This record gives sequence, C-alpha cells and structure tokens, in this order.
Amino acid sequence: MLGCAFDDLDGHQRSLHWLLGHIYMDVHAAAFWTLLFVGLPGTLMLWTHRSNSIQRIGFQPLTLLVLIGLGITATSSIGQYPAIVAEIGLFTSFIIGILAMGTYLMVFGGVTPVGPVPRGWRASGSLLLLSTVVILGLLTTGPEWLFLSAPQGWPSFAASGVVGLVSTSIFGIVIVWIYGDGRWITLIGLILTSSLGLAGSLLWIESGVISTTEISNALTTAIGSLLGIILSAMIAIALMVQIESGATVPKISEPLSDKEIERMKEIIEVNLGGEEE
Amino acid sequence: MSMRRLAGAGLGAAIVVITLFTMVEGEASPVFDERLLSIAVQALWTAMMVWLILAGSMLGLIMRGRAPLLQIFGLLFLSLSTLGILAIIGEIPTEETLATLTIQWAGLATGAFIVFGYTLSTLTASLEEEEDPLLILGRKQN
Repeated sequence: MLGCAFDDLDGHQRSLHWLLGHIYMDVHAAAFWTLLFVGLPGTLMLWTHRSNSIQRIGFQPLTLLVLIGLGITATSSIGQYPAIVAEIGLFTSFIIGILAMGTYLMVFGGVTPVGPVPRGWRASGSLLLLSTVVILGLLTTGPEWLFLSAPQGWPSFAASGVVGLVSTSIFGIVIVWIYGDGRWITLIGLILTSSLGLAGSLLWIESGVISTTEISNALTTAIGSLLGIILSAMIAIALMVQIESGATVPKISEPLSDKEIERMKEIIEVNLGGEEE
Repeated sequence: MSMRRLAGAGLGAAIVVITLFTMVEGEASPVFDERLLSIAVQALWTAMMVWLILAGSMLGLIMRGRAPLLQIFGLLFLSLSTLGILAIIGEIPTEETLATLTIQWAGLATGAFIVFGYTLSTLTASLEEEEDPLLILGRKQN
C-alpha cells in the first residue's frame, strides 16, 4: 500500500497515494478514456470502408460493443469524471439528434420537387430546430417546474456552447457579408443568433447560472483548441505525405509482356507518324 | 474566393469575438501573459488528443500494408512526445482536465453545429421555388 507520508510546500501532510491520485486513474476510468478517444473514432471510421469489406461488416457490432463498454466503464469507475462526461454525452447526443433531424427536414423538405422528404415537412423541421434551443435554454436555466435536471458540469458545457455559437455566428456573418451574394435573410439570421447568444450569456451571468470564469475558460479553450487543431493537422499531414511518398506501389496488375510492348510501340509510331494503322 | 481576403476576414472576425468576450468576462479576464500561457498549454493538450484520435481512427487500415502502420506509430509517437513535453513543463493533464476539456469541446461543437443548422435552413428557406428541368421538359412535350 502506498502509505508513506510527506509534507507539501504549504506544510500539509500528504500521502504518496494522494500525490499519485492526481496523476493516475483506476482501471475503469483508463478504459473509459481509451474507448472514448481511441476506440470510438476507430470503430466509427470503419463505416467509411467499402460496403463489402470486413471492416464495414464489423462496423455495427464493434460500435455497439464500444458504446456498451463506455456505459459499463463510466458507471463502474471509482472517480466521478467518466460518469459526468458520459451523462453530458448522452444529453448532447439527444440535442444534436433533434437538431440534425430538424436541419434535414428544413433542407430537403422544400425547394426541390424531387427531394427525399415530402414538401410539407419544413414546418416540422423548423419546430425541431426551435425546440433544440428551447431545450438547451431550459436545461441551463433550470426552472423549478422542469422534470429534467441538468447533469453535473452543465454550466461549463453551456458556457462553451455560447462561446461556440457566438464565435461561429460572427465568422458566418463575415463570410456571408463578403461572399453571400446578397443573402440577407441568412445574414439577418446570423446577426440574430450571435445577438441572442450574447444576450443569453449576459442574462445567465446576471442570474448566476454560469460564471464569467467559465466563459473565460471556454474562450481560452476555444482559441487554444483551434491553434492545437491547426498545428496537429499540419504536422499529421506532413507525416502522412512523407510516409506515403516513400511507400511501395502495390502490384495491381501484371507488367506488360514483350509482345504487348511491341504492339504499343507500333501504335505510338503509327499515331506519331500520321500513317494509317 | 481569394485566400488573402478570407484570411483578413477571419482575422477581423477573431478580433471581434475576442473583444466581445473580453467585455463579457469583465474583471474575470486574466492578464495577457497568463492567458497566452493557458492558450499554449491548451493547444498542446489539443494536439496530443488530436494525434491520439487520428491514430485510433486509422486502426481499420492496419491490414493495408506498412504505410498505415508507420502512420499510426508516427502519430502515437507525436502524441506521447507532446505528453513528455507537458510533463517537463509541469502541465500534464489530470483526469479532471481531461473531463473539463471533453465537456468544453462538446459545448463548442454543439454551439457551432446549431449555427450550421440554422444557416443551412435559412439558406434553403430563402431560395425561391425551383422546378425540376426534367418535369418542365415533359410538360413541353405534352
């Protein structure tokens, strides 16, 4: 057992277990994070393979296994973090699902007469889109009559959501303003979205639902993550190009025989010389 | 679409976003040096995780020769090297950091996705009714 004790810089007596506890996690937590950041991307990418390949066949059962594994490890971990992340993940999937369905109905349920969705479904799409924002707002505000309570860590999620919403809207405004060819409805929509996001964040800060520190942390994470993604993508692409350029070309067909080479030369000479074959 | 113009527009938008949120933060806004250091550490954490996720997502290609294997090991090496750098500077991510980052990434992605959904919807809703050219052709023949 890690029982030996020592004094920290503030004079508090600490055990070695306390120190290691900050760095190491229990087996279930380690399995949860591995499944989340390695297992899930790995199984989801199997969907991109050819439909008759072994990878594509294994996509559904493996994804299901990874999801079950995430659930089991999140609930059996001693630490609270996997459970918090899993719960927020469930809420997020539900909200993104409604949003994706609403967008699908809005995009394909109108203009084109040969679209995959009947024309009248656009109203349902707009209702679903609106309900996404309402659900997010209600979960964050947490009124007493609401039967559903937001999971732990939700204020951090909400603050990041607001930062993501406002930042993307402002970037969208600039893009539509410069390249939008007079799409004024879209521009007004983006201005409204960013204004509502800012107003919402100010109201939530006023009422103490989210703190300015959480907004500050979310902004730092947003900038840092963007820089990190750009840096990692550049280095990863450079690495892949380097490895792929040195890779041997796979043999996909037999090389040409002498007879075929002769025939090819004949054809080329005929075509270059302008004579009839 | 000129890349220079796009980069300028992006930079302008970034300045607007940072100014707006600095105003929202008010007194909670950290000093410049602190924020710069936090951003650098966040960038390293993100790069480490992105390389790990990329390596994980390439696992299905293992059977396709030496190149994918080399790429997976290369990405894992980059990820572990970043972890080493973080350990040297004393910013090794704890489980709490990992959880907070995951929640914040989920929040940022949800916010961005809401904007994409609404923008796509307004773009298609603002289009006028259009007719399928094949249907028009058929009508003329009749």
